[in-house]
Amino acid sequence: MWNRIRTLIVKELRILMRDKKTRVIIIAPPILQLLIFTYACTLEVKNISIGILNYDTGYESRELVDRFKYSPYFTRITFLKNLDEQRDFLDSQKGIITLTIPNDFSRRYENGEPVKVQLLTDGRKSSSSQIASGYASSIISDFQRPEGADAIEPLRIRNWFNPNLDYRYFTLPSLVGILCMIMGIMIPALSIAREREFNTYDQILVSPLSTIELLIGKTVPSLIIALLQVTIMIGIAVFVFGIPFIGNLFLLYFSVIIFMTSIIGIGLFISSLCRTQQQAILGVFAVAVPLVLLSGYATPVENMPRYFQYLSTLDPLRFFLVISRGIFLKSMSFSAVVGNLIPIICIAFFTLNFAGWFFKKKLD
Amino acid sequence: MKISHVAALVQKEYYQIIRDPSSILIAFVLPIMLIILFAYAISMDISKIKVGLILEDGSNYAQTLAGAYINNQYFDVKVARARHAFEEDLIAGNIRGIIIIPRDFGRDIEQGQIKPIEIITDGTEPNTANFIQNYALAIWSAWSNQQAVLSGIQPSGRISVEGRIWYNPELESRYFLLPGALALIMTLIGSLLTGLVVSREWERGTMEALLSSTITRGEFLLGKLIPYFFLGVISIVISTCVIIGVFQTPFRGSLVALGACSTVFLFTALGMGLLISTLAKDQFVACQITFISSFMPTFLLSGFIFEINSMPLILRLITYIIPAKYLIACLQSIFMVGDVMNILIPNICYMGVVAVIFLTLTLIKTQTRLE
Repeated sequence: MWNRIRTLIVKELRILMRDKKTRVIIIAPPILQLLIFTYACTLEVKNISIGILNYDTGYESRELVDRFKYSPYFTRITFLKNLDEQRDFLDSQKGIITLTIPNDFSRRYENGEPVKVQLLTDGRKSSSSQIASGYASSIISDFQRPEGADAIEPLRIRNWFNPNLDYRYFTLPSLVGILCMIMGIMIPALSIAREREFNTYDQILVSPLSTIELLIGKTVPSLIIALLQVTIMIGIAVFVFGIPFIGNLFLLYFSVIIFMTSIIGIGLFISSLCRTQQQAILGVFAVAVPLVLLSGYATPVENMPRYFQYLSTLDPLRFFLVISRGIFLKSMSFSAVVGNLIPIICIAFFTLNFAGWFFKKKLD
Repeated sequence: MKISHVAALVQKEYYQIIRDPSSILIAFVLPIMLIILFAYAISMDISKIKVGLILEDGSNYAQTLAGAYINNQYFDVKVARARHAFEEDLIAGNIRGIIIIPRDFGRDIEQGQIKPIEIITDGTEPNTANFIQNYALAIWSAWSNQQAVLSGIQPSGRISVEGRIWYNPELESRYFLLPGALALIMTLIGSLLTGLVVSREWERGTMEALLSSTITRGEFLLGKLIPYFFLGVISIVISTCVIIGVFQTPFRGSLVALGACSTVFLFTALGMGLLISTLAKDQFVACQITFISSFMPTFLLSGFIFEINSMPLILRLITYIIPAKYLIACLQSIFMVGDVMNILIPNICYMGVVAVIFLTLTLIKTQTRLE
């Protein structure tokens, strides 16, 4: 039995590594994606371009504008002359925010009277413009603080596990799960679809392989590749990006194996419904995109409407992301990890059984 | 070039599309699914965040502040008295932050000082951590304004800021996410489906049959372009109807502008798909390359979700060669602002140039002989 399984595993790995093109395409994309995602996925806002419409010629207004000039957030300042220019500035997306200073600003400010400035933001980019408007407001409140007075800090804030709120701490451990998942669905889904497209599936059917042997033989190669990828990605996260890994590495690998088994089960499940590679690829797509979007990576699960929260409990990635970030950054305890592994095991049990049932049906 | 040749190829492709359920899936089911997911599953608008509140002080001030944290729309609060009550929950991810109102909080206020309250956040979700900080401060400020005693301690500002948000005053994230979903849908049909189709011809050996016929390269490409172009158009029309009709997204521009930029973009996507499959000749490889070179950039590097200006310089330069960036700018403006010619004309021209480059390259690279 072990001999037959081993032969099948070797054959599967040979197909995956058959030529240079496929070898590159299995290893390179996840790494490339890891790098691009890490640098691109930031909700921080930097290098903001602001338009300033200053109707005032007084000293105080120039002081205020200078504050914006020396701010690290606003790197490009455009001076606008009138309302038309202001409208065009926002309409054509030359910037996402404008500041309007009224013509009596300096006079009223010096006399200690209340005065109003206006911040207009572009709702097309609502999250960045909200953040930009937060920066602008804090510059304005700094400006009116009397000289020498310290800002009152009513809150003392500590961010555990990630003191500077570096977004990469969040992105990288999550990507380990997401990128492995995509490969883990794709490889088994395609391997069977490929056999069917080239009519070699019939040969497997007449071979002495039993259902369970076939299932193991199709699962293990993807698992090997997944573990290889996880290792490379953890290496990049720790050594290239300097993300601290404070948890138990074995616990993470253990979780990865269980998670990937459930994912490969999904891949085999898809492939059992498909007759061609094209169908398998599109099927993978139709499943992988919702799995990623419902996992809490794009936005926290708590923000979703209730029905989507229920739906997300069917998503193994949702639980794995908690584990991955937990072990990576928080040294999550064994019991907390197991609590998140149980739903994954249930999903794996269901999908693998279905795939096994499908193989069996074909064999009989 | 003979019309009859092209017509025959288009007809063959047409049958292949309608007989394969996966083409229907990608053209009609996937778009609707993407739209629903983007409308509901991705929400930039944060709802109630789960936090723990530790109340170490029993004074009246501490009680009213705790009340302010408990009764508001930002936080879902659990209360405890001991300091370490919530640490396990924070590590397990059951709560996202801890607010601590320290001992002697009330006494210090009576003596004319402000004792800072402590906020601990879960830094593994930086976004939520930021929201907790901002909301905690906002609630504190509102509370302190109500407390007459504090007014002497806090300097009051004379400059008031009037903030206004144009185009999307209610800050509905779906208003800008759904037009972005349209771009993803076009990429899917244009690049992924077309990419698979041509590499399949190579993989199955039917390309050899085509090569030995009298069909020219141009005819072959047109035979592939036309059917998938129409499939794309049908899918866009349906998706747009769903976005505007079902999800009530504003549509302030004109259909002409939408048609123009979608058509041009479809050609760039189709061109890219054809080019990839011509080079890859293998469905798995074609699928991976399409994912890397068109789907992912459309999602990440187009300014659709993540702000381009915040990226490192190299990525910012890369975004210039990504057609989806130009489409997203057009779509978001057409839906939310109107036909802004300053945005539409340069962006459409750019996409047109890209389309021509891709299609020309494909024409050159399509081999008419076997190795």
